[in-house]
Amino acid sequence: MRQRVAITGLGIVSAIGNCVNEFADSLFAPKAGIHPITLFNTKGFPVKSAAEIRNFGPFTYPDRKVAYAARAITEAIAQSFGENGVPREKVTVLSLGLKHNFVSFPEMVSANFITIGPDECAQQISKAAGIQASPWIYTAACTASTVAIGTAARAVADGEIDVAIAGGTSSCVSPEWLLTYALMGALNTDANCAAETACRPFDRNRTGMILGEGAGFLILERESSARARNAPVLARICGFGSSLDAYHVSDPCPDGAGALSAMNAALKDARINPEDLSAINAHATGTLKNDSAEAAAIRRLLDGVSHETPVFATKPFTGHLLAASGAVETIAVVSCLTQQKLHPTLNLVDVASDCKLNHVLKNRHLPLRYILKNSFGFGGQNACMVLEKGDSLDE
Amino acid sequence: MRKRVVVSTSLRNAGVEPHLLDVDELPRKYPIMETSEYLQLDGYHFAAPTSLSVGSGLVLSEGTEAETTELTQETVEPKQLKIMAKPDRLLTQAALAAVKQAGLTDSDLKTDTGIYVTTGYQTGFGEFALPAARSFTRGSDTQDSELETNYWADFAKAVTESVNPRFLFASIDSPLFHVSKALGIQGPSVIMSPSAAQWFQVLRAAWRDLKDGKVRFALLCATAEMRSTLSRLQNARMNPSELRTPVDTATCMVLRKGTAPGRIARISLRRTRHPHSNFGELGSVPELNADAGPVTPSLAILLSLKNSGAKEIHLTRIDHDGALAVQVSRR
Repeated sequence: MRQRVAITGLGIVSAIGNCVNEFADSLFAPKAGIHPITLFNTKGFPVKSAAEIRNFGPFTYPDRKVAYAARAITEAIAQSFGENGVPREKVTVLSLGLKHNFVSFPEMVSANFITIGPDECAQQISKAAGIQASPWIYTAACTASTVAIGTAARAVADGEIDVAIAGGTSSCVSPEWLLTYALMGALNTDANCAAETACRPFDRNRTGMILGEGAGFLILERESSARARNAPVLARICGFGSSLDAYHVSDPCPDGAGALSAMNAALKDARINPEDLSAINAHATGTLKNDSAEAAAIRRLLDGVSHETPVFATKPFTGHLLAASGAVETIAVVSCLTQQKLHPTLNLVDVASDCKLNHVLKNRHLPLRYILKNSFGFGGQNACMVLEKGDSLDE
Repeated sequence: MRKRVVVSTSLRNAGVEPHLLDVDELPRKYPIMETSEYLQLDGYHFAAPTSLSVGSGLVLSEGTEAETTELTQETVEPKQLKIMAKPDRLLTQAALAAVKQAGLTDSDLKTDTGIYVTTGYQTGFGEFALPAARSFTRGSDTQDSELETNYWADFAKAVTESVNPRFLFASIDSPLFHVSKALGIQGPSVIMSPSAAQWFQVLRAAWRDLKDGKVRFALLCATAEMRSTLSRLQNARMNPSELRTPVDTATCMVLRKGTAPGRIARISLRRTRHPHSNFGELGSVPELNADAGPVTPSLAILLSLKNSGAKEIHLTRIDHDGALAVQVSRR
């Protein structure tokens, strides 16, 4: 990227915390947010566990993801700009990763109600959060919010915009969504599996993903602008890259070629080499094929360089937030950079033979400068981002 | 005489509520810039619209686009063909034709090409699953009682029995997959939705990647099934006063960074101030009385190029922070 892009604010709503401090505390406790579903009666339903939001409400908007996003954006703006919000003279965009609109069938048929589409969702979020920002709406499956952040960062770096409120939001813990992913064969539907250990990335006994909900947003601006107004530089986005597998509608390319291409593109954009990486935050859904392909891609990336680069995953804490997963996990990465320690990959007990990497099994303190964040989605969409540590808390 | 086409996407489509737009508050930081850089358009195609009437000034009927590349087992793998929803098919058809017209080779496509897509509302999965859902009509006041019943278990059973899991992948982002798979494209991508406003951002993403040398070619794509039940319901609810004839269509343009006057046309992109746009001229663009959703801006360009009358096409997206203008000049 041409100019350094600073992250000056963070906001989150997740199953392990409805603000960044609570979220970070849970990551390092460590405390998972996956539990038996309470949002509806799961008797006879094939999915029993999810990462639900707790202690949140009441909901003013019919679509929960609007409320999650508004809360997260409000927190991020307050951290970056204080209570006055983003100055009106700043050219601001809301760069938003969303899952495609999903019709709530029964309600639509009976009450002519349609779950809101991406454009209406962006409008409602802007209104609820009290912001005036052009909406950029990305619908790139599970890479959506990573793409939203990465492309917004490039626009900031190029001087096209002053401020980006970038991230994603998801409310996919619903019978319709859970059933959709169960039918696709992507979810862990083992009724005998304890909810807290149901998401097991890279483990020999992994059986699928667990869906979660929530939102994560970051405030991005040029570092020079942030410095000029004495804003906190929590971390920097210094590289972004994407690629396509052109392989299969749901399965990743087994040798991880597409993932590797996106990782290399992000490193090239950041002008660093694989050996410069302090750690990698994996996409790591807990599905057989995704974890295997991602591990293969990471091994190829580090081949001949260092197989000691630590790899860690966040989904056992938060569940898979689909379009919002990249944003929430990016905030986990910033938390790691800020505290100079890595959170563990929960529930990884017996590393699968095809997933051998230097996994982080418990909190690990080490000097962290660059962390690579991976996001991969159905349809062979790959997006990766390089984050660099910002100011130390004691600087 | 030069024909000039101006298209302004509506504020609502731009995702900006009208009350948020105050012209007097528009920043003055974007002076009208001379365009010194431009992209050139190497190939383009639009898949045949499936509506007979597109506005009052132009009639297109199915199959009139003679260059249509039929999707057959020779061009798309049988397995892929089976799971394609309509927006997938339309866009893949358009992309295959545009790439052929532009003369791109397999080696050009693999990693040197990016795909930049705007899609309309998600329709594929909804269409497949709707029959199963109809038997589960319920009122909005039954949520509490659900907890005491097997409602969701019965729902799951019915859907599982009636929905083919293959079709669950027909979603808002599936057109991107199908184009990448059909053409073997492994470069970067952006996919946005669901309105015409997002088309401008997709163009800007393609523009950025071309300028930065991340790709040599960019497939600028748009596809929408505006006549589906779900799209009609959604549009009727959001824009009841703006209903126009919906069309299902897709477009694909092959762009590359220009160093000389373009083979077909050249496209310039610039930020301008608000006065550069003109809502009043909307009514004088008969080709665009139809609602092609996010395909509308590219359809405007391609219809104008195809009809040969236009030497210059000017598209403007109004935003509360100014306007993003796209100028296309025919060679």
